[in-house]
Amino acid sequence: MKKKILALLAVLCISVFALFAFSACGNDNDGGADGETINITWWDLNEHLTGIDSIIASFESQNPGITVTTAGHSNETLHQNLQISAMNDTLPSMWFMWGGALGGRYVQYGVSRDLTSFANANNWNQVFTPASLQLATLHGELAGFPRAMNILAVYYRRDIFEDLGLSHPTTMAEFHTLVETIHAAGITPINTASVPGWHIMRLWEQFLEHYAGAVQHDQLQIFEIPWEGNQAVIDSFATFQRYAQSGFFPDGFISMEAGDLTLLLYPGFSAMQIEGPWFDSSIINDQQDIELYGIFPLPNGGTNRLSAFGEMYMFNDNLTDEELEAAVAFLHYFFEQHNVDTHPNLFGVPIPQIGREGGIPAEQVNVPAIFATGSVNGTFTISDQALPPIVVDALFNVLDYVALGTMTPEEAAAFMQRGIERHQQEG
Amino acid sequence: MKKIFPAVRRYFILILLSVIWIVPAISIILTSMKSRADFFSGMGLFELPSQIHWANFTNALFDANLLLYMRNSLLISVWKVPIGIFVAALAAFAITRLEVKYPRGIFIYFLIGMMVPFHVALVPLNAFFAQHGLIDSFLGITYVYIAFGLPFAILVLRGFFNSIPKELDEAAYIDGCSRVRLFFSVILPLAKPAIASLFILDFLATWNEYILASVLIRDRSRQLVTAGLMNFIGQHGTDFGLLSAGVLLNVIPIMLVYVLLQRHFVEGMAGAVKG
Amino acid sequence: MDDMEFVGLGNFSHLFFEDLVFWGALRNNLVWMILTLVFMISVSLGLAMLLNAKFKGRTFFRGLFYFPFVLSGILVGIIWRWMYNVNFGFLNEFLSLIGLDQLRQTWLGDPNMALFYVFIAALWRGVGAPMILFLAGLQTIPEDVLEAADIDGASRFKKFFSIKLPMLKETFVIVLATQIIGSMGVFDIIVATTGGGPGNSTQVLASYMVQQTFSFANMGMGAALSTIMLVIMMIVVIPYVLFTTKER
Repeated sequence: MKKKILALLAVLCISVFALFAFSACGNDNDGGADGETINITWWDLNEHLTGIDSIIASFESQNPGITVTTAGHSNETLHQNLQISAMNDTLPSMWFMWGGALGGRYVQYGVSRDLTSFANANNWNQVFTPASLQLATLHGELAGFPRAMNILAVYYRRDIFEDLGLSHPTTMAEFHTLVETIHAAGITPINTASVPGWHIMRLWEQFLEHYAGAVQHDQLQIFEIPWEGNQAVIDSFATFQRYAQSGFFPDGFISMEAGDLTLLLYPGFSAMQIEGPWFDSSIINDQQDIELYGIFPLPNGGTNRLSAFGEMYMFNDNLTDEELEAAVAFLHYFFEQHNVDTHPNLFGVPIPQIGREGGIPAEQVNVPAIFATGSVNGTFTISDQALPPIVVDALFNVLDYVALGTMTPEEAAAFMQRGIERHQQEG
Repeated sequence: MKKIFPAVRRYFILILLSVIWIVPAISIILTSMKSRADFFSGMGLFELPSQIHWANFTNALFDANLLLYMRNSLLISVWKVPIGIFVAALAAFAITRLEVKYPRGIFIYFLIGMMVPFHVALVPLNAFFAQHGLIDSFLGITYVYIAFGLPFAILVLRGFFNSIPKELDEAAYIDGCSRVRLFFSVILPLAKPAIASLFILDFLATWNEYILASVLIRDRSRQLVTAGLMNFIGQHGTDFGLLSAGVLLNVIPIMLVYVLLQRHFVEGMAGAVKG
Repeated sequence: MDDMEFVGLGNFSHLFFEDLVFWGALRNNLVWMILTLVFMISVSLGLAMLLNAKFKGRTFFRGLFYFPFVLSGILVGIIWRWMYNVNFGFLNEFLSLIGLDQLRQTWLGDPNMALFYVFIAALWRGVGAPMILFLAGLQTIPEDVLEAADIDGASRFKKFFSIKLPMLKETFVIVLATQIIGSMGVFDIIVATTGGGPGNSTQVLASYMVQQTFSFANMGMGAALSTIMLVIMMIVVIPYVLFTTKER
C-alpha cells in the first residue's frame, strides 16, 4: 500500500515534468513561414551581431512581411551548432561561414544552396568583386553571399624598425637578415603562437610559397603533385624549424594562445605579427596608437602573393525562392553604406562589392594599403581553407612536431602525405 | 598548552595553503579592474592598475547583458536543483531502503548515465528539441538538466542514505511510521549535510553548464550565463578586463549559495541519532 | 547528410593501428586518472579534516578552497595559461624576483611535463568538490564513537585509519566514482590551457574527440572515440562499485 503511494508519487512527478516539457510546444516561433510572413533565421558570430538590432528593425519596417531572427555564437559553438544541425536538417535560413574547407563541408553534405543560377539571374558578377566570388566558390558551386575578403600581411612596429634603422625587406634573404637583426637587439622578431595551429601556419605557408613558387604552391594545394619528398615542402618545414629553434618566436610560443599575443606586441616586446585588415580595428579598440603600426607583404618571391581567405553567408538548401530572395535582400540592405558608416566597429573590412573599396573608417590607416598590395601582388588561399580538414589536422600536428624537433622536415612532408591519402580514400 | 599547539599548526598550514590558493585568482581580480590601455601597457598581470576601472563591471552587467543572462540561469536553477534533488532522493530511497529487485543493477544503470560523453547526446537532443519546438525553451532545457543531473545526485544520496543506520527504519516502522513518513521525516532530515552539499554542487553544475546551453538556447535574450560569458571572447581579440569582471560577477550567486548552505555540514547527524 | 557510409570497424582500426595521437591520449587519460586518485583525493580529504573542526575563520577558509571550483573550466584555463606564460607569467616573474632565474621554465611548452602542469591547475580548481563531499561525510560519523576512542586513548593516526576512513566508505564510493569518471572525461581545462599541445602531449580522449568531431568534421572518429571512453569508464567503475556495495 505504502509502496504504491510512493510509486504513484514518482509517476506524478514524472508526468509533471513531461507536462512541463511539452507545454512549451507550439508557442515557439521556429515554425517558419505561415504563408503571410517570411522569417529569416540567421546565425553568426556574436561580434558580428553586436548593436545591429536597429538595422534589423529598420529593414523590417521597410519590408513588412519579412522578419529576421538572429542567434549569436562563439567561434567554436558556431561550428558545433552548424555541424549538429546539418546532421538533422535543422539549419537556419542563413549562416556566417568561412570559405574553403570550412564552408565546403556543407556543400558536400548537400545542405547549402547552390547560388550559381541565382547569381547569374541577378548579375552578381557586376555586384561583387571577382576575388570574393572566387573565394565563395566551393566544389564548383557558388556557396555563399560574400561578406568579406581578408588579406594577410606583416604588421610591424614602426618605432622598433626606426630605432633599429630597418626598412621593408624586398627579398626572402633580406627578410631573414631583418629577423636576425631584430633578434640580436633582444626583441622577439615574429609574434606568433601555436595554440591553435592556424596562427603559426601563417608564417609557414609564406615559406612554402617562397620555395615552391606560385604555380607549384597551387598544385600542392590541390594535390596535383605529392607532398612527400617534395623539396619545396621539405625546405619550408626546415626554414620553419630553424625559426622555431632560433628564438625568432616568443619564448614558449609552442604553448601560447594566439589570443594572448597582443600582450607581447603592444608593449613592444615583439616586432612583427602576420594579421589581416581586422587588426587595425583591434588595435584601435584596444586603445593603442595605430600610428605605431605599419604593414608590408612578406617577400616570398615572384609577385609576393599574400594569403587570403573569404567570409560569406551560406543559405539553407531547403529555402523557397521567396525566402532566398528575402534573405539576400536583407543582406544587401545590411551592407549598405549608411549602415557601415553608423557601425564602424562592425565592419572592420571593406565590403567586397565593386566600387566599395573605400568606405572604411579613416583611422584604419593600414586597411587600404593591405588591399592595394593584395590587388597588385595577387593572393593565394590560406592553407587552412585551401586544404581539406583531415590535411589541416595533419598540418597543425606537423608544425608542432617540427617546431619541437621531434619530426624532421622530411618526415613532416611524409606525414602530410599520409593525411592527404586518408582524405583521398574517404573521398 | 596541549590544545594551543594544534590550533597554531592548523592556522599555519591553512594560511600557507590559502596564499598558494589565492595567487592565481589575483590575476583575474586585478585584470577586472584594469582598462584596456592599462592591461596592454606591458605592466605585469600582478601589478596594480594605474586607476581602478569600475566600468568593466557596469559594462559587463548592462552593456554586455550579463545581468540578463544571470537572471535566465537563475530562473532555471531555482527549479532544476530542488526538483532534481527530490527525484534523486526518491530513487536513492528506493535503492537503499525499499526491497526493490536488483538495487545494484538499477544503481549502475543510473551511473552509466554519468559516463556517456556529453557530446554524444548533442545531435539527438538537438533533433528532438527542434522537432518539438523546444529550442530556446527554459522548460525544455530544465528538463534535460534534471535528467543529466540525476546520476550524480543519486550517487551522492545513495551513499549517504546507506550510512544512515537501518535500525532507524525498523524503529520507525514499529512506531507505526509509513514509508512515506519514513522518507520525509526520518531519512531526509538526517541526510541534511548530504543534501546541502549536493545542493551546492548541483547548483554550481547547473550554473556553469555550457555545452548544452550553447546548443539548445539560441535566442540571444534567453542565453544562459556561461554561454553568455563566452560572448566576451572575440574572434580577433578579447577584452580581458570585461571578461574578468564578468567572471567575478558570475561567481557571486554560486558563492552565496555556498556560504548559506555550508553551515549545514556542522549540524551533523550525530546528535540526531542519539536523540 | 544521406551519404553516410557504413565503414564497419574502420574507425576503430584506424585509431588502434594508424592514428598517431590515440594511444598517447589514452595514456594521458590514465596518467591523469592516477594523479587524480592520488593527489585530488589526499589533498581534498586533508583539507576536509582540517576544516571540519570548529575554529575562527572556518567559513572563510572553506569558501576560499571552494572558490576556484566555481570558476568555469575555460576561465581557469585562461588564469593558468597566464600563470605559466614564459614571458609575463607569475611563476617565472616570481622566480626572478626571488633570485632563482635559473629555475625559470617553459612550463606548458615542455612536452614531457605539460600534462603535470595542467594537472596542477586542475587540482587547484578541483579540490573543492570532493572536499565538500568529505565534509558532509565526516558529519555522518557519530561523535560518541570518537569520544569512546578518545577514552580508550587511541592515537590520532589510529583514530584516522581505523575509525574515520572506514566510516567514510560511502563517501569514498561517491568521490572515487565521480573522480574516475571525471578524469576519463577531462576536457575543458586542457583545451583552455594547452589546446592538447604541444605536439599532442596533453591531448586526452575527450579533447581529441571534440576536435575530431567539430573542428575537423570527422564524425565517425568522434563516435568511435566516445565509445572507447564509455567502455573504459565502465570497465573501471562498474567492478569498483560492485565490489564496494557487495557486503550489504
